[in-house]
Amino acid sequence: MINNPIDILLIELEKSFKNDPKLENAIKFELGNLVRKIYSESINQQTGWCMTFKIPDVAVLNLISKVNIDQQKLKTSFMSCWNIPTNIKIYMATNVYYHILLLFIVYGIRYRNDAIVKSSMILILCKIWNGRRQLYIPHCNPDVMRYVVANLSGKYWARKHDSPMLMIMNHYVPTLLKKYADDVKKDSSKTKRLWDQCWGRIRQIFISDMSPDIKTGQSTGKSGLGPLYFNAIKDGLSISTPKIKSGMGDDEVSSNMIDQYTSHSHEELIDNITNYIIMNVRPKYDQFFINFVNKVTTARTMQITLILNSIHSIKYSNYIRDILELMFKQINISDKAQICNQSFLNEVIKKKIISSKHSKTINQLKNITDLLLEKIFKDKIAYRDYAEYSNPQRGKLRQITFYGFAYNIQKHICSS
Amino acid sequence: MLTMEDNYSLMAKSQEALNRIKTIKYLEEEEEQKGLHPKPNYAKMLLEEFDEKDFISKVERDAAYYDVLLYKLEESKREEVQPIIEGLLQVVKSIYEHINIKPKIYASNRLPDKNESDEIIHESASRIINDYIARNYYQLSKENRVKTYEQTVKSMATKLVIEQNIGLDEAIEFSTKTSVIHQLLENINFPLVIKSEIESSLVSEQYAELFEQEELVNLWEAFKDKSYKFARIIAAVV
Repeated sequence: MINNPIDILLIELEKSFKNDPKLENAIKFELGNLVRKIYSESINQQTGWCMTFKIPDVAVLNLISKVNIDQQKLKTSFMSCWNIPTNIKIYMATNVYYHILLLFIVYGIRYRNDAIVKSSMILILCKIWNGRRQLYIPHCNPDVMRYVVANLSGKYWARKHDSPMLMIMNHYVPTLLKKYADDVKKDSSKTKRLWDQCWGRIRQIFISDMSPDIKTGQSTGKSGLGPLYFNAIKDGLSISTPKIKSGMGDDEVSSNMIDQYTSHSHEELIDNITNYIIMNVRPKYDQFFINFVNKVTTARTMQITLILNSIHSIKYSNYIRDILELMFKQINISDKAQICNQSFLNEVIKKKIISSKHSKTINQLKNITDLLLEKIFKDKIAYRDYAEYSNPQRGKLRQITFYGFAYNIQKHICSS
Repeated sequence: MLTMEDNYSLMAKSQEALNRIKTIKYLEEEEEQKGLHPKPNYAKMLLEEFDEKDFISKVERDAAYYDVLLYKLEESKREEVQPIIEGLLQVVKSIYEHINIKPKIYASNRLPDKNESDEIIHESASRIINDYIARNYYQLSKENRVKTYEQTVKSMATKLVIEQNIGLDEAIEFSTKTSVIHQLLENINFPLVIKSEIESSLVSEQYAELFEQEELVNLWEAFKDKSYKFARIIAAVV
């Protein structure tokens, strides 16, 4: 017995397709056509990453009647399946534009019609893009945005694609489908999760690292295209001086997400700390900290500073991200207070990372840190090759790196 | 019994393996010639990092050697020696931490398992120490002893003769025994592979660039000083 209202709609859709054998293909071509139109229109725009797409709202809504589904029924089915109260009017998830496309996605996943799935996903993501772009950067200056994107770190997908459309098509559609298609196939109510993720991922491009503003009490983001765009405008930064975050000694309000340790916020936290490290191109480590590292590693303070400063580069963003992820996995802490405690370096990092041996995570951590140090020695400490050092000596260099990362984690999380 | 076919198959496999080795070797040589990858020191890569637990385990095992060395001392002398040993172990630990190498146990292959009875462990430790002293002192002819220890013994023997009015032969004998015990203590605390790493770190430019070499030099001096004091006390009863 089918209780899920979306599944009931799906039966209706199947029936429509069976009754008219050409209908499924017609929908497929129609969706593809809409995507092509958006794409060709986006190519002609000169707005770069300020782009908003021409969303074919009417054309999409027309598809509802084409497949003989009642628009009101479509809406109430999704809302009841997603547990959204009917009296909410403005909520984006109540928009039938998304509902019909999601219904096509469920159908396409179950009946292996990839073209329908992909086109529908693109149409959903493009509409979400428009909404987030207009909300976070209402009057977007393409030149400023060009500067911002040009100076983004490697972890931003925006940096890796030529336009929002290509980013959506080549990154977000395959990534989201890979992760959530199976769930949706098994349970159509998971369309809510898929939709949330579409919304969340696009929003994250514009704003992330949310924390309350001390003056207003409102939550504001510290990274993402939105804050970076306004920082660029405020500071009048030129393209040749990429500087998005201020130095480490400043009062940086950081994420309190660590208290809500969901996997999403965890990823976001790691992204934010990575960003915090790579954007801080002229870091200033406290002398007290340098002395501490000198004492525990017996490395010379000058070399400690040189190695730690060298880490702060966009070039190493992938290594930094991986190291942070493994460090968090190894320390296994979900409480902000533990990280902000004075004993974090001396107790937690020393016991759980420095003194820990032979676990899979630790071995991975060592390997990636070795790769990072190898690069740093090659790029910045050219007179020596990392391969020349013995394993125990490398161990000390790794210790410096781990303490450096821990210091940045603390600074980012606890400075608010 | 192997058939001809088996033989051919084995030969073919061996040839394949040989070719693989040759190819790898050729590629490595080529890379080396191009200077793409500086040759890493594989021996150094095998050294493991310092671990607190390993050090504690070493101290527990080394206790057998110290027991043997202290065995012939009078009770009052043993009490006198105790703080010297404690200080010595502190310096030893600091040196291990400084060079970040996993502590090793002297003649570990000749020591019985730590779960064996104290008696058996003591016997083995005693045999190891006696063998060492016999090999490096008693089994050497007078000429050989002089030849071996001349440099290290000279100043101490002279000092003993001048300051404590001891006969020359007696002074040389005591100084030589001190030197032998001193060397033994060094071996116990820093078996050969560790000692060579310390010695290279003490003079290496590469080490000095990166680490507080002077601190290591001071620690090494402190170790020499403390172990020498200890050796002098033990030499009197050997």
